[in-house]
Amino acid sequence: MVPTSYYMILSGILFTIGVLGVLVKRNPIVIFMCIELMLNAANIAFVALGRHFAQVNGQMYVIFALAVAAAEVSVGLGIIVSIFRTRESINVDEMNLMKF
Amino acid sequence: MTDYRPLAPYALLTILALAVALLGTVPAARRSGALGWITAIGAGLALFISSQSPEATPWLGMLRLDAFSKACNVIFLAALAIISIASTAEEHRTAFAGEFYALLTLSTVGLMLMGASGGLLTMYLGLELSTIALFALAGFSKREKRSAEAALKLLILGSVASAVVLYGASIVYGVLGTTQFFEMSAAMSHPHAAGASAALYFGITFIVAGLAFKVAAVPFHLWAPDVYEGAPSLVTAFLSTASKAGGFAALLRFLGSVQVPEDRTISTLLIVLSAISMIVGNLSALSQKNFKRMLGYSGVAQSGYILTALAAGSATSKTISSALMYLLLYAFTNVAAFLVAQAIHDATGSDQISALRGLHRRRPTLAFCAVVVMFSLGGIPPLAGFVGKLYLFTAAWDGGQRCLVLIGALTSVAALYYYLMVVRQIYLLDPEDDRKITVAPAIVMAISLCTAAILAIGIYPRPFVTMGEAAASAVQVTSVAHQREAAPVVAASDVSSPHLRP
Repeated sequence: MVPTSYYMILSGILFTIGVLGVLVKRNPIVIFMCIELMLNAANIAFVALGRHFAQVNGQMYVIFALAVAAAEVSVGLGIIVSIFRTRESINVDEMNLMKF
Repeated sequence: MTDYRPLAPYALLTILALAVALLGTVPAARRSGALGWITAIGAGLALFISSQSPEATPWLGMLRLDAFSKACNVIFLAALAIISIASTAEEHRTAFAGEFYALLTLSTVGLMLMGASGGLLTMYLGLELSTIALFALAGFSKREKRSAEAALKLLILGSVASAVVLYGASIVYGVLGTTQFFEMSAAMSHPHAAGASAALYFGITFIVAGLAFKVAAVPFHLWAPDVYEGAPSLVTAFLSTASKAGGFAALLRFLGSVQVPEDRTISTLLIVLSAISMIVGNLSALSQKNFKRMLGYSGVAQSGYILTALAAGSATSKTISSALMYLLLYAFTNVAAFLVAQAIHDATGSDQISALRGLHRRRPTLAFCAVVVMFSLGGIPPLAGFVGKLYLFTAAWDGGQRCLVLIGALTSVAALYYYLMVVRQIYLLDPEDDRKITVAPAIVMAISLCTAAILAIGIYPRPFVTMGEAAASAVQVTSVAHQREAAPVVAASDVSSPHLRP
């Protein structure tokens, strides 16, 4: 049986990759994929810990998190489409109408 | 048998949201502002039911419907009702009025769930429900580039913040083996948790950081000025008051009912958040030309003021009551401020502070209300803002955070400068053109309601303080009572499952 700590390390690595991706990438769709990576890092941790504690709570979290992530993405893609309609580009570097 | 009656306000608002979305299909000419009134009446009804319903902890304690959640509901529902009334003025111009009110109502349900959360899962779900609805609301003026940009900024940063909360929750679950608040307190005093305290603080820091985004505390505030400026004013009014109150409700619930044994790390975190929020928020607001953007930075500073009380010890009754009271009066004050921005924008097409120039000649009643709002934000004595700030700083002082109170007092003086600059524009300068401006009656009514509330709370704060104290004792009682009940359960589960030690 794989020790729980391995799963925790994997989830930590995935979360870090997600955070770095959000900071580095310029396309909002790719940024969104990185946010999904962050959410899934948490999901892996929950599933592994649920098994570790022999509870169903961990799995229950994941079901909720998946539903929430789907809702978030559907609203997010809608916003990205509406941005593309107003300015023919979705590069986040060009989102600079408002600054200091 | 669980008693489901206390859930009635939540069910009522959910049905209201769906009904309003359906009614939105009626042509705008035939409903003439009815949707806003329906939403406002529904919010008032939910508020009444919420105040009358018995206390309960349905679904294995996932929700805690007690005095604290009732006090939070007052804030959220008051904001929802006033903003709905003001929105009736816009209703015939908006293409998707039904969806607007539906999203606003659903967001309120999410905030109410945050206030009533009994564990990290309900807190996360409430946070997401309110935030996702706000993404769509921030981008509601689809044709405007600024609104779309505000929506994208809120979307990306909001999603990251909620992912951070979820990851923090997973770490806390790993250390404690539970995410119910009352079981967490008991599990924390267990030796296993003490052995992994670094991981525990790491997790709690993540959760606090995610919620700090929701309340727009520095350094998680970068979205706030941009989104406040770009989003429609009516949405910003909700975002800057109810949504912020939701973040604080979750923070108070979490930090108040989960007593971390060695509190130093978390209180240091709150002290830092509070101090830099007050300093950065107020200093950045000084140089702003755009009225909504200035209010955005002032909102960051106001979060800092509330955090001073939290830093003084989240579980004390003074902290919780003063924070709730401040959030309530801040809801009225800031909603009114953004409605003034909306009225000025409708009349002049500009969001600049200079657009307020000579308002006392162009619309005397609006000018008076705007000045009351600015004085209340600045904390001038007879008004609500002064009383609230006094309670907050007293709570912080008694909790030993004298340095923070000092920073708060000094930055409040700096803040007075930019609030009084607005008053100067309104009263001391003469307008460029003397014509009267027209303001929609609905907006005038909403602003007058807020102004009356500001004066009432400022002159007679007693009932609101009592409400806050009842809420505070509810949070504490549940945490202490359940500590005794939950302790043997956790101990028993430990025999079969050794806790993780990273």
